[in-house]
Amino acid sequence: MPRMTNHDDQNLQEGLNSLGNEKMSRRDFLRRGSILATGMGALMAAMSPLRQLQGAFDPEEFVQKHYKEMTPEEMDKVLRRIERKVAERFDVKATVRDIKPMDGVEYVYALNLSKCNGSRKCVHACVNENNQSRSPEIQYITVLKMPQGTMDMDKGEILYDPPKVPEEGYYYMPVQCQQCANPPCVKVCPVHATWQEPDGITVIDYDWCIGCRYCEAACPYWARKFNFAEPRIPKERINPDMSYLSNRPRSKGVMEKCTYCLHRTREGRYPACLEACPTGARIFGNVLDPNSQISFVLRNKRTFVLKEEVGTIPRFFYYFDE
Amino acid sequence: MTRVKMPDIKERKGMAHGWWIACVLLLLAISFVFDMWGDKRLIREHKPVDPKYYSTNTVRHAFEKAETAQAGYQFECSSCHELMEPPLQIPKLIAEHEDIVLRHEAAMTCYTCHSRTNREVLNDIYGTEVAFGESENICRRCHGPHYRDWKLGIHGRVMGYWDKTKGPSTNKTCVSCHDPHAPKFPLMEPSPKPSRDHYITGGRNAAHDEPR
Repeated sequence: MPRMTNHDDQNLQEGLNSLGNEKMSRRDFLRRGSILATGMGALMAAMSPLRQLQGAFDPEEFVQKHYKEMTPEEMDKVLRRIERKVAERFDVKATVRDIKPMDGVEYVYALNLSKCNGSRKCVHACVNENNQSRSPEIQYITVLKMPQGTMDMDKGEILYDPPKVPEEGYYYMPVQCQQCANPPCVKVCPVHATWQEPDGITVIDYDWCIGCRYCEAACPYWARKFNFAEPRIPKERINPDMSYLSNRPRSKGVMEKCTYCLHRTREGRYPACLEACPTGARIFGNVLDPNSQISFVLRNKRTFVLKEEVGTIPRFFYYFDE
Repeated sequence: MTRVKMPDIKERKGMAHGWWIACVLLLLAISFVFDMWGDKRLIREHKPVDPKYYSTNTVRHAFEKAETAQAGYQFECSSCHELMEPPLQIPKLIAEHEDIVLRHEAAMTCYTCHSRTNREVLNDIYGTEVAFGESENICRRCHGPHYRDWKLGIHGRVMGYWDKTKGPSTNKTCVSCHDPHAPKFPLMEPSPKPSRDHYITGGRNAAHDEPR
Protein backbone atom coordinates (compact mmCIF):
# COMPACT_ATOMS: atom_id res chain seq x y z
CA MET A 1 0.00 0.00 0.00
CA PRO A 2 1.47 3.38 -1.01
CA ARG A 3 2.21 5.68 1.87
CA MET A 4 0.63 9.06 2.14
CA THR A 5 3.14 11.80 1.48
CA ASN A 6 3.34 14.99 3.46
CA HIS A 7 2.14 16.86 0.47
CA ASP A 8 -1.03 14.81 0.23
CA ASP A 9 -1.59 15.25 3.90
CA GLN A 10 -1.29 18.99 3.62
CA ASN A 11 -3.72 19.08 0.72
CA LEU A 12 -6.25 17.08 2.66
CA GLN A 13 -5.90 19.35 5.63
CA GLU A 14 -6.55 22.39 3.48
CA GLY A 15 -9.61 20.79 2.03
CA LEU A 16 -10.96 19.86 5.43
CA ASN A 17 -10.33 23.36 6.71
CA SER A 18 -12.22 24.87 3.82
CA LEU A 19 -15.14 22.57 4.66
CA GLY A 20 -14.87 23.45 8.32
CA ASN A 21 -17.33 25.85 9.89
CA GLU A 22 -14.91 28.45 11.20
CA LYS A 23 -13.92 29.59 7.71
CA MET A 24 -17.41 29.50 6.14
CA SER A 25 -19.38 32.68 5.81
CA ARG A 26 -23.15 32.81 6.36
CA ARG A 27 -23.69 33.53 2.69
CA ASP A 28 -21.68 30.49 1.66
CA PHE A 29 -23.56 28.33 4.08
CA LEU A 30 -26.96 29.39 2.75
CA ARG A 31 -25.86 29.00 -0.83
CA ARG A 32 -24.46 25.58 -0.34
CA GLY A 33 -27.36 24.50 1.81
CA SER A 34 -29.96 25.54 -0.74
CA ILE A 35 -28.08 23.86 -3.59
CA LEU A 36 -27.86 20.71 -1.53
CA ALA A 37 -31.58 20.83 -0.71
CA THR A 38 -32.50 21.39 -4.36
CA GLY A 39 -30.25 18.57 -5.45
CA MET A 40 -31.72 16.20 -2.90
CA GLY A 41 -35.21 17.18 -4.00
CA ALA A 42 -34.39 16.50 -7.62
CA LEU A 43 -32.85 13.15 -6.72
CA MET A 44 -35.89 12.11 -4.75
CA ALA A 45 -38.18 13.12 -7.58
CA ALA A 46 -36.10 11.10 -10.01
CA MET A 47 -36.30 8.08 -7.72
CA SER A 48 -40.03 8.47 -7.11
CA PRO A 49 -41.03 5.50 -9.34
CA LEU A 50 -39.26 3.29 -6.81
CA ARG A 51 -41.81 4.23 -4.18
CA GLN A 52 -44.41 2.22 -6.09
CA LEU A 53 -42.26 -0.85 -5.65
CA GLN A 54 -42.58 -0.70 -1.90
CA GLY A 55 -44.72 -3.56 -0.68
CA ALA A 56 -44.16 -5.44 -3.92
CA PHE A 57 -40.82 -6.64 -2.64
CA ASP A 58 -41.11 -9.79 -0.64
CA PRO A 59 -37.91 -11.38 0.68
CA GLU A 60 -39.56 -14.82 0.75
CA GLU A 61 -40.56 -14.46 -2.87
CA PHE A 62 -37.10 -13.17 -3.72
CA VAL A 63 -35.35 -16.30 -2.46
CA GLN A 64 -38.04 -18.65 -3.78
CA LYS A 65 -36.68 -21.52 -5.88
CA HIS A 66 -37.65 -22.49 -9.40
CA TYR A 67 -40.86 -24.55 -9.65
CA LYS A 68 -39.00 -27.70 -10.63
CA GLU A 69 -36.49 -27.38 -7.78
CA MET A 70 -38.94 -26.92 -4.95
CA THR A 71 -39.53 -29.79 -2.55
CA PRO A 72 -43.18 -30.58 -1.72
CA GLU A 73 -42.79 -28.85 1.66
CA GLU A 74 -41.35 -25.72 0.09
CA MET A 75 -44.11 -25.79 -2.50
CA ASP A 76 -46.70 -26.01 0.23
CA LYS A 77 -45.23 -22.98 1.99
CA VAL A 78 -45.26 -21.05 -1.27
CA LEU A 79 -48.87 -21.98 -1.96
CA ARG A 80 -49.94 -20.79 1.50
CA ARG A 81 -48.04 -17.55 0.96
CA ILE A 82 -49.79 -17.01 -2.37
CA GLU A 83 -53.13 -17.60 -0.66
CA ARG A 84 -52.22 -14.97 1.94
CA LYS A 85 -51.21 -12.53 -0.77
CA VAL A 86 -54.44 -13.11 -2.70
CA ALA A 87 -56.38 -12.45 0.49
CA GLU A 88 -54.41 -9.20 1.03
CA ARG A 89 -54.69 -8.04 -2.53
CA PHE A 90 -58.24 -8.96 -3.46
CA ASP A 91 -59.86 -9.73 -0.11
CA VAL A 92 -60.84 -13.15 -1.44
CA LYS A 93 -60.31 -16.51 0.22
CA ALA A 94 -58.77 -18.65 -2.48
CA THR A 95 -57.34 -22.17 -2.59
CA VAL A 96 -54.09 -22.41 -4.51
CA ARG A 97 -52.95 -25.89 -5.48
CA ASP A 98 -50.11 -27.41 -7.41
CA ILE A 99 -51.69 -29.99 -9.72
CA LYS A 100 -49.33 -32.47 -11.32
CA PRO A 101 -49.89 -33.92 -14.80
CA MET A 102 -51.62 -37.29 -15.15
CA ASP A 103 -49.77 -40.28 -16.51
CA GLY A 104 -50.58 -41.40 -20.04
CA VAL A 105 -52.33 -38.19 -20.95
CA GLU A 106 -51.50 -35.76 -23.73
CA TYR A 107 -53.97 -32.98 -24.32
CA VAL A 108 -55.02 -32.02 -27.80
CA TYR A 109 -57.59 -29.51 -28.88
CA ALA A 110 -59.58 -29.40 -32.10
CA LEU A 111 -61.81 -26.64 -33.34
CA ASN A 112 -64.55 -27.01 -35.93
CA LEU A 113 -64.42 -23.88 -38.07
CA SER A 114 -67.72 -24.84 -39.73
CA LYS A 115 -69.42 -24.43 -36.35
CA CYS A 116 -67.66 -21.44 -34.82
CA ASN A 117 -69.91 -18.41 -35.16
CA GLY A 118 -67.55 -15.81 -33.71
CA SER A 119 -69.62 -15.15 -30.59
CA ARG A 120 -66.44 -14.68 -28.50
CA LYS A 121 -68.02 -16.42 -25.52
CA CYS A 122 -64.90 -18.56 -25.20
CA VAL A 123 -62.79 -15.41 -24.81
CA HIS A 124 -64.74 -14.13 -21.84
CA ALA A 125 -65.25 -17.55 -20.26
CA CYS A 126 -61.47 -17.89 -20.35
CA VAL A 127 -60.92 -14.48 -18.78
CA ASN A 128 -63.41 -15.34 -16.06
CA GLU A 129 -61.84 -18.72 -15.37
CA ASN A 130 -58.19 -17.72 -15.45
CA ASN A 131 -58.20 -14.44 -13.48
CA GLN A 132 -56.80 -12.33 -16.29
CA SER A 133 -56.47 -8.61 -15.76
CA ARG A 134 -59.68 -6.77 -16.67
CA SER A 135 -58.05 -3.36 -16.93
CA PRO A 136 -55.80 -3.33 -18.75
CA GLU A 137 -57.48 -6.13 -20.62
CA ILE A 138 -55.69 -9.42 -21.18
CA GLN A 139 -57.31 -12.18 -23.20
CA TYR A 140 -55.76 -15.49 -24.18
CA ILE A 141 -58.04 -16.19 -27.14
CA THR A 142 -58.06 -13.99 -30.23
CA VAL A 143 -61.01 -14.56 -32.56
CA LEU A 144 -60.22 -13.65 -36.16
CA LYS A 145 -62.97 -12.76 -38.60
CA MET A 146 -61.69 -14.22 -41.86
CA PRO A 147 -63.08 -13.65 -45.35
CA GLN A 148 -64.24 -16.94 -46.83
CA GLY A 149 -61.85 -18.39 -49.35
CA THR A 150 -58.57 -17.49 -47.67
CA MET A 151 -56.41 -18.92 -44.93
CA ASP A 152 -54.19 -15.83 -44.75
CA MET A 153 -54.27 -14.85 -41.10
CA ASP A 154 -53.17 -11.32 -41.97
CA LYS A 155 -56.62 -10.81 -43.54
CA GLY A 156 -58.29 -11.59 -40.24
CA GLU A 157 -60.11 -8.87 -38.36
CA ILE A 158 -60.00 -8.83 -34.57
CA LEU A 159 -62.16 -5.85 -33.66
CA TYR A 160 -65.35 -6.93 -35.46
CA ASP A 161 -68.47 -5.90 -33.59
CA PRO A 162 -71.66 -6.34 -35.64
CA PRO A 163 -75.06 -6.60 -33.92
CA LYS A 164 -75.33 -10.27 -34.92
CA VAL A 165 -72.83 -12.97 -35.81
CA PRO A 166 -71.97 -14.85 -37.97
CA GLU A 167 -71.81 -12.39 -40.83
CA GLU A 168 -72.40 -13.50 -44.40
CA GLY A 169 -69.20 -14.29 -46.29
CA TYR A 170 -66.93 -14.73 -43.28
CA TYR A 171 -65.74 -17.52 -41.06
CA TYR A 172 -64.31 -17.14 -37.59
CA MET A 173 -61.05 -18.55 -36.35
CA PRO A 174 -60.24 -18.44 -32.63
CA VAL A 175 -56.49 -18.57 -32.00
CA GLN A 176 -54.95 -19.32 -28.62
CA CYS A 177 -51.85 -21.08 -27.35
CA GLN A 178 -51.34 -24.10 -29.59
CA GLN A 179 -49.32 -26.00 -26.94
CA CYS A 180 -46.70 -26.82 -29.55
CA ALA A 181 -44.68 -30.01 -29.30
CA ASN A 182 -41.71 -27.97 -30.54
CA PRO A 183 -42.35 -24.67 -28.80
CA PRO A 184 -40.21 -21.72 -29.91
CA CYS A 185 -41.24 -19.75 -26.82
CA VAL A 186 -39.58 -22.29 -24.53
CA LYS A 187 -36.35 -22.24 -26.52
CA VAL A 188 -35.87 -18.49 -26.28
CA CYS A 189 -36.55 -18.11 -22.55
CA PRO A 190 -33.22 -17.04 -21.05
CA VAL A 191 -34.10 -18.13 -17.51
CA HIS A 192 -36.11 -21.37 -18.07
CA ALA A 193 -39.21 -19.77 -16.63
CA THR A 194 -41.34 -21.58 -19.21
CA TRP A 195 -41.24 -25.25 -20.15
CA GLN A 196 -43.30 -28.07 -21.57
CA GLU A 197 -44.96 -30.42 -19.11
CA PRO A 198 -45.24 -34.19 -19.75
CA ASP A 199 -48.91 -33.80 -20.74
CA GLY A 200 -47.97 -31.35 -23.47
CA ILE A 201 -48.95 -28.11 -21.77
CA THR A 202 -46.39 -25.32 -21.88
CA VAL A 203 -46.48 -23.53 -18.55
CA ILE A 204 -44.88 -20.47 -16.99
CA ASP A 205 -43.52 -20.04 -13.47
CA TYR A 206 -44.78 -16.50 -12.95
CA ASP A 207 -42.40 -16.02 -10.03
CA TRP A 208 -39.41 -16.97 -12.17
CA CYS A 209 -40.29 -14.90 -15.25
CA ILE A 210 -38.14 -11.81 -15.71
CA GLY A 211 -40.50 -10.20 -18.22
CA CYS A 212 -38.06 -9.98 -21.14
CA ARG A 213 -40.85 -10.83 -23.62
CA TYR A 214 -38.59 -12.93 -25.84
CA CYS A 215 -41.25 -15.65 -25.82
CA GLU A 216 -43.89 -13.20 -26.98
CA ALA A 217 -41.72 -12.35 -29.96
CA ALA A 218 -40.96 -16.01 -30.65
CA CYS A 219 -44.57 -17.20 -30.65
CA PRO A 220 -46.04 -17.32 -34.17
CA TYR A 221 -49.62 -17.42 -32.80
CA TRP A 222 -49.68 -14.26 -30.62
CA ALA A 223 -50.55 -16.52 -27.73
CA ARG A 224 -48.42 -14.95 -25.03
CA LYS A 225 -49.64 -11.86 -23.24
CA PHE A 226 -47.65 -9.48 -21.10
CA ASN A 227 -48.71 -7.70 -17.93
CA PHE A 228 -47.60 -4.16 -18.70
CA ALA A 229 -49.38 -2.87 -15.61
CA GLU A 230 -50.45 -4.30 -12.29
CA PRO A 231 -53.41 -6.56 -13.20
CA ARG A 232 -56.69 -5.34 -11.82
CA ILE A 233 -59.63 -7.66 -11.28
CA PRO A 234 -62.88 -6.80 -9.49
CA LYS A 235 -63.14 -8.75 -6.25
CA GLU A 236 -66.40 -10.44 -7.20
CA ARG A 237 -64.93 -11.73 -10.47
CA ILE A 238 -62.01 -13.61 -8.89
CA ASN A 239 -62.08 -17.34 -9.48
CA PRO A 240 -60.99 -18.74 -6.08
CA ASP A 241 -60.05 -22.16 -7.49
CA MET A 242 -56.42 -21.45 -8.36
CA SER A 243 -53.31 -23.37 -9.26
CA TYR A 244 -49.68 -22.37 -9.21
CA LEU A 245 -49.02 -22.90 -12.91
CA SER A 246 -52.25 -21.59 -14.32
CA ASN A 247 -54.75 -19.10 -12.96
CA ARG A 248 -53.31 -17.65 -9.75
CA PRO A 249 -53.20 -13.85 -10.01
CA ARG A 250 -50.15 -12.58 -11.86
CA SER A 251 -48.13 -9.50 -11.08
CA LYS A 252 -46.87 -6.64 -13.20
CA GLY A 253 -44.07 -7.50 -15.59
CA VAL A 254 -44.69 -11.21 -16.22
CA MET A 255 -45.89 -13.16 -19.23
CA GLU A 256 -48.99 -15.30 -19.20
CA LYS A 257 -50.79 -17.56 -21.63
CA CYS A 258 -53.40 -20.26 -22.12
CA THR A 259 -52.67 -23.46 -20.17
CA TYR A 260 -55.67 -25.45 -21.48
CA CYS A 261 -57.13 -24.62 -18.03
CA LEU A 262 -54.79 -27.14 -16.43
CA HIS A 263 -56.41 -26.75 -13.01
CA ARG A 264 -59.57 -28.10 -14.64
CA THR A 265 -58.22 -30.47 -17.26
CA ARG A 266 -55.76 -32.22 -14.96
CA GLU A 267 -58.74 -33.11 -12.81
CA GLY A 268 -60.57 -34.56 -15.78
CA ARG A 269 -62.81 -31.60 -16.54
CA TYR A 270 -63.22 -29.78 -19.82
CA PRO A 271 -61.57 -26.37 -20.30
CA ALA A 272 -63.73 -23.31 -19.67
CA CYS A 273 -63.70 -22.16 -23.30
CA LEU A 274 -65.13 -25.49 -24.44
CA GLU A 275 -68.00 -25.40 -21.97
CA ALA A 276 -68.93 -21.85 -22.90
CA CYS A 277 -68.87 -22.35 -26.67
CA PRO A 278 -72.51 -22.00 -27.72
CA THR A 279 -72.05 -23.99 -30.94
CA GLY A 280 -70.02 -26.92 -29.63
CA ALA A 281 -67.20 -26.15 -32.04
CA ARG A 282 -64.50 -27.13 -29.58
CA ILE A 283 -63.28 -30.70 -29.04
CA PHE A 284 -60.83 -31.52 -26.28
CA GLY A 285 -59.37 -34.69 -24.91
CA ASN A 286 -56.57 -37.15 -24.41
CA VAL A 287 -55.00 -38.04 -27.72
CA LEU A 288 -53.30 -41.11 -26.23
CA ASP A 289 -56.72 -42.68 -25.60
CA PRO A 290 -57.85 -44.18 -28.94
CA ASN A 291 -61.51 -44.01 -27.88
CA SER A 292 -61.51 -40.32 -26.97
CA GLN A 293 -63.44 -37.72 -28.89
CA ILE A 294 -60.30 -35.98 -30.00
CA SER A 295 -58.85 -39.22 -31.39
CA PHE A 296 -62.02 -39.72 -33.44
CA VAL A 297 -61.77 -36.21 -34.83
CA LEU A 298 -58.12 -36.60 -35.76
CA ARG A 299 -58.84 -39.92 -37.48
CA ASN A 300 -62.01 -38.94 -39.30
CA LYS A 301 -61.99 -35.21 -39.98
CA ARG A 302 -59.69 -33.35 -42.31
CA THR A 303 -57.73 -31.45 -39.70
CA PHE A 304 -54.95 -28.96 -40.25
CA VAL A 305 -52.73 -26.81 -38.07
CA LEU A 306 -51.88 -23.13 -38.28
CA LYS A 307 -48.55 -22.12 -39.80
CA GLU A 308 -47.47 -25.71 -40.32
CA GLU A 309 -44.45 -24.45 -42.25
CA VAL A 310 -42.80 -22.96 -39.16
CA GLY A 311 -42.41 -26.42 -37.66
CA THR A 312 -43.90 -25.80 -34.23
CA ILE A 313 -45.99 -29.03 -34.31
CA PRO A 314 -49.07 -27.59 -32.59
CA ARG A 315 -51.42 -29.63 -30.40
CA PHE A 316 -54.30 -27.50 -31.64
CA PHE A 317 -56.10 -28.62 -34.78
CA TYR A 318 -58.69 -26.94 -36.96
CA TYR A 319 -61.13 -28.55 -39.35
CA PHE A 320 -64.14 -27.87 -41.52
CA ASP A 321 -66.75 -30.61 -41.69
CA GLU A 322 -69.67 -29.10 -43.58
CA MET B 1 -2.31 6.56 -5.44
CA THR B 2 -3.24 9.57 -7.49
CA ARG B 3 -3.06 12.96 -5.96
CA VAL B 4 -6.36 14.35 -4.95
CA LYS B 5 -6.60 18.09 -4.64
CA MET B 6 -9.65 19.05 -2.68
CA PRO B 7 -11.30 22.09 -4.23
CA ASP B 8 -11.21 25.25 -2.24
CA ILE B 9 -14.81 26.30 -2.25
CA LYS B 10 -14.03 29.86 -1.22
CA GLU B 11 -12.01 30.41 -4.36
CA ARG B 12 -14.36 28.67 -6.76
CA LYS B 13 -15.83 30.86 -9.47
CA GLY B 14 -18.41 28.28 -10.61
CA MET B 15 -20.96 29.07 -7.94
CA ALA B 16 -23.22 30.77 -10.48
CA HIS B 17 -23.20 27.62 -12.60
CA GLY B 18 -24.23 25.65 -9.55
CA TRP B 19 -27.34 27.78 -9.22
CA TRP B 20 -28.24 27.27 -12.84
CA ILE B 21 -27.88 23.53 -12.62
CA ALA B 22 -29.92 23.44 -9.44
CA CYS B 23 -32.71 25.45 -11.05
CA VAL B 24 -32.81 23.23 -14.13
CA LEU B 25 -32.89 20.10 -11.97
CA LEU B 26 -35.68 21.55 -9.86
CA LEU B 27 -37.75 22.38 -12.93
CA LEU B 28 -37.17 18.92 -14.32
CA ALA B 29 -38.17 17.39 -11.02
CA ILE B 30 -41.41 19.37 -10.96
CA SER B 31 -42.20 18.41 -14.53
CA PHE B 32 -41.57 14.72 -13.85
CA VAL B 33 -43.65 14.66 -10.70
CA PHE B 34 -46.62 16.23 -12.43
CA ASP B 35 -45.92 14.42 -15.72
CA MET B 36 -46.27 17.72 -17.56
CA TRP B 37 -45.52 16.55 -21.09
CA GLY B 38 -46.02 12.83 -20.74
CA ASP B 39 -48.98 10.74 -21.84
CA LYS B 40 -50.19 10.41 -18.24
CA ARG B 41 -50.21 6.63 -18.88
CA LEU B 42 -53.29 6.16 -16.81
CA ILE B 43 -54.92 2.80 -17.13
CA ARG B 44 -58.34 2.87 -18.61
CA GLU B 45 -60.94 1.36 -16.36
CA HIS B 46 -62.90 -1.34 -18.20
CA LYS B 47 -66.28 -2.33 -16.93
CA PRO B 48 -66.38 -6.11 -16.32
CA VAL B 49 -68.42 -7.79 -19.05
CA ASP B 50 -71.94 -8.95 -18.35
CA PRO B 51 -71.98 -12.61 -17.15
CA LYS B 52 -74.35 -13.47 -20.01
CA TYR B 53 -71.36 -13.12 -22.36
CA TYR B 54 -69.67 -16.15 -20.85
CA SER B 55 -72.57 -18.16 -19.46
CA THR B 56 -72.59 -21.84 -20.32
CA ASN B 57 -76.31 -21.81 -21.13
CA THR B 58 -77.47 -23.24 -24.43
CA VAL B 59 -79.02 -20.88 -26.94
CA ARG B 60 -82.53 -22.22 -26.32
CA HIS B 61 -84.41 -24.20 -23.76
CA ALA B 62 -85.15 -27.85 -24.46
CA PHE B 63 -88.53 -29.08 -23.33
CA GLU B 64 -88.67 -32.41 -21.62
CA LYS B 65 -92.39 -32.70 -22.14
CA ALA B 66 -94.96 -31.09 -24.40
CA GLU B 67 -94.88 -27.33 -24.05
CA THR B 68 -98.28 -27.13 -22.35
CA ALA B 69 -97.28 -29.62 -19.66
CA GLN B 70 -93.94 -27.83 -19.25
CA ALA B 71 -95.64 -24.50 -18.67
CA GLY B 72 -97.89 -26.04 -16.00
CA TYR B 73 -101.15 -25.79 -17.90
CA GLN B 74 -103.91 -28.13 -16.87
CA PHE B 75 -105.06 -28.87 -20.40
CA GLU B 76 -103.35 -31.18 -22.80
CA CYS B 77 -102.65 -30.77 -26.47
CA SER B 78 -105.49 -33.13 -27.36
CA SER B 79 -108.00 -30.91 -25.53
CA CYS B 80 -107.98 -28.73 -28.61
CA HIS B 81 -106.71 -31.10 -31.22
CA GLU B 82 -109.51 -33.61 -30.64
CA LEU B 83 -111.84 -31.09 -32.16
CA MET B 84 -109.76 -29.67 -34.92
CA GLU B 85 -107.49 -31.21 -37.42
CA PRO B 86 -104.71 -28.77 -38.37
CA PRO B 87 -104.28 -28.44 -42.09
CA LEU B 88 -101.43 -30.20 -43.78
CA GLN B 89 -100.57 -27.10 -45.74
CA ILE B 90 -97.84 -25.03 -44.14
CA PRO B 91 -97.92 -22.25 -43.07
CA LYS B 92 -101.51 -21.85 -42.06
CA LEU B 93 -101.32 -21.36 -38.33
CA ILE B 94 -104.30 -19.54 -36.95
CA ALA B 95 -105.13 -18.41 -33.43
CA GLU B 96 -102.64 -20.77 -31.75
CA HIS B 97 -98.98 -21.58 -32.42
CA GLU B 98 -98.56 -18.31 -34.30
CA ASP B 99 -94.99 -18.07 -33.07
CA ILE B 100 -94.07 -21.28 -34.85
CA VAL B 101 -92.36 -20.72 -38.16
CA LEU B 102 -91.71 -23.90 -40.05
CA ARG B 103 -88.44 -23.42 -41.86
CA HIS B 104 -87.07 -26.90 -41.85
CA GLU B 105 -87.59 -28.72 -45.10
CA ALA B 106 -90.12 -27.93 -47.80
CA ALA B 107 -91.71 -31.35 -47.73
CA MET B 108 -92.26 -31.40 -43.97
CA THR B 109 -95.61 -30.95 -42.29
CA CYS B 110 -96.65 -31.02 -38.64
CA TYR B 111 -97.18 -34.78 -38.86
CA THR B 112 -93.64 -35.50 -39.96
CA CYS B 113 -92.73 -35.22 -36.30
CA HIS B 114 -96.00 -34.82 -34.33
CA SER B 115 -98.24 -37.83 -33.96
CA ARG B 116 -101.54 -37.43 -35.81
CA THR B 117 -103.42 -39.60 -33.35
CA ASN B 118 -101.80 -38.76 -30.01
CA ARG B 119 -100.77 -35.14 -29.58
CA GLU B 120 -98.88 -35.81 -26.34
CA VAL B 121 -96.15 -37.65 -28.19
CA LEU B 122 -94.08 -37.29 -31.32
CA ASN B 123 -93.50 -39.79 -34.06
CA ASP B 124 -90.64 -40.38 -36.41
CA ILE B 125 -90.94 -40.74 -40.17
CA TYR B 126 -91.79 -44.43 -39.80
CA GLY B 127 -94.66 -43.66 -37.43
CA THR B 128 -92.95 -44.92 -34.30
CA GLU B 129 -94.05 -43.00 -31.23
CA VAL B 130 -91.32 -40.95 -29.54
CA ALA B 131 -91.61 -39.03 -26.25
CA PHE B 132 -90.96 -35.27 -26.24
CA GLY B 133 -87.82 -35.74 -24.16
CA GLU B 134 -86.24 -38.11 -26.67
CA SER B 135 -86.70 -36.10 -29.81
CA GLU B 136 -83.19 -36.95 -31.07
CA ASN B 137 -84.66 -40.29 -32.14
CA ILE B 138 -86.72 -38.40 -34.70
CA CYS B 139 -83.86 -36.21 -35.90
CA ARG B 140 -81.53 -39.15 -36.48
CA ARG B 141 -83.85 -40.64 -39.10
CA CYS B 142 -82.64 -37.94 -41.49
CA HIS B 143 -79.46 -36.55 -39.88
CA GLY B 144 -77.49 -39.77 -39.47
CA PRO B 145 -73.91 -38.40 -39.57
CA HIS B 146 -74.80 -35.65 -37.12
CA TYR B 147 -76.44 -38.17 -34.81
CA ARG B 148 -73.30 -40.35 -34.94
CA ASP B 149 -71.09 -37.34 -34.15
CA TRP B 150 -73.45 -36.22 -31.38
CA LYS B 151 -73.42 -39.68 -29.82
CA LEU B 152 -69.62 -39.55 -29.81
CA GLY B 153 -69.68 -36.11 -28.24
CA ILE B 154 -68.16 -34.22 -31.14
CA HIS B 155 -71.32 -32.53 -32.38
CA GLY B 156 -73.06 -30.20 -30.01
CA ARG B 157 -72.49 -29.15 -26.44
CA VAL B 158 -70.71 -31.29 -23.90
CA MET B 159 -70.16 -30.32 -20.29
CA GLY B 160 -68.42 -31.88 -17.34
CA TYR B 161 -65.54 -34.34 -17.52
CA TRP B 162 -63.46 -35.45 -20.49
CA ASP B 163 -62.08 -38.21 -18.26
CA LYS B 164 -65.03 -40.51 -17.71
CA THR B 165 -63.26 -42.19 -14.76
CA LYS B 166 -63.30 -38.88 -12.86
CA GLY B 167 -66.86 -37.81 -13.46
CA PRO B 168 -69.79 -37.67 -15.86
CA SER B 169 -70.17 -35.59 -18.96
CA THR B 170 -73.50 -34.46 -20.27
CA ASN B 171 -74.50 -34.10 -23.88
CA LYS B 172 -77.09 -31.47 -24.62
CA THR B 173 -79.85 -32.69 -26.92
CA CYS B 174 -80.51 -31.50 -30.49
CA VAL B 175 -83.32 -29.19 -29.41
CA SER B 176 -81.11 -27.45 -26.83
CA CYS B 177 -79.54 -25.58 -29.71
CA HIS B 178 -81.75 -26.17 -32.74
CA ASP B 179 -85.38 -25.09 -32.92
CA PRO B 180 -86.99 -28.18 -34.46
CA HIS B 181 -89.30 -25.96 -36.51
CA ALA B 182 -86.44 -23.82 -37.85
CA PRO B 183 -83.26 -25.72 -37.08
CA LYS B 184 -80.71 -23.30 -38.47
CA PHE B 185 -78.50 -22.14 -35.59
CA PRO B 186 -79.72 -18.65 -34.62
CA LEU B 187 -77.64 -15.52 -35.13
CA MET B 188 -76.13 -14.31 -31.89
CA GLU B 189 -75.03 -11.08 -30.34
CA PRO B 190 -71.23 -11.26 -30.08
CA SER B 191 -69.50 -10.68 -26.76
CA PRO B 192 -67.59 -7.39 -26.39
CA LYS B 193 -64.61 -6.95 -28.65
CA PRO B 194 -61.13 -6.72 -27.20
CA SER B 195 -60.02 -3.28 -26.15
CA ARG B 196 -57.00 -1.68 -27.71
CA ASP B 197 -56.86 1.43 -25.55
CA HIS B 198 -55.56 0.19 -22.27
CA TYR B 199 -53.31 2.96 -21.12
CA ILE B 200 -53.77 6.32 -22.73
CA THR B 201 -56.78 8.29 -21.63
CA GLY B 202 -57.57 11.40 -23.61
CA GLY B 203 -54.88 12.97 -25.74
CA ARG B 204 -53.65 11.57 -28.96
CA ASN B 205 -55.48 8.25 -28.91
CA ALA B 206 -58.86 9.62 -27.88
CA ALA B 207 -60.26 8.85 -31.31
CA HIS B 208 -60.05 5.13 -30.53
CA ASP B 209 -61.87 5.34 -27.23
CA GLU B 210 -65.08 3.49 -27.79
CA PRO B 211 -66.33 2.36 -24.41
CA ARG B 212 -68.90 -0.35 -24.56
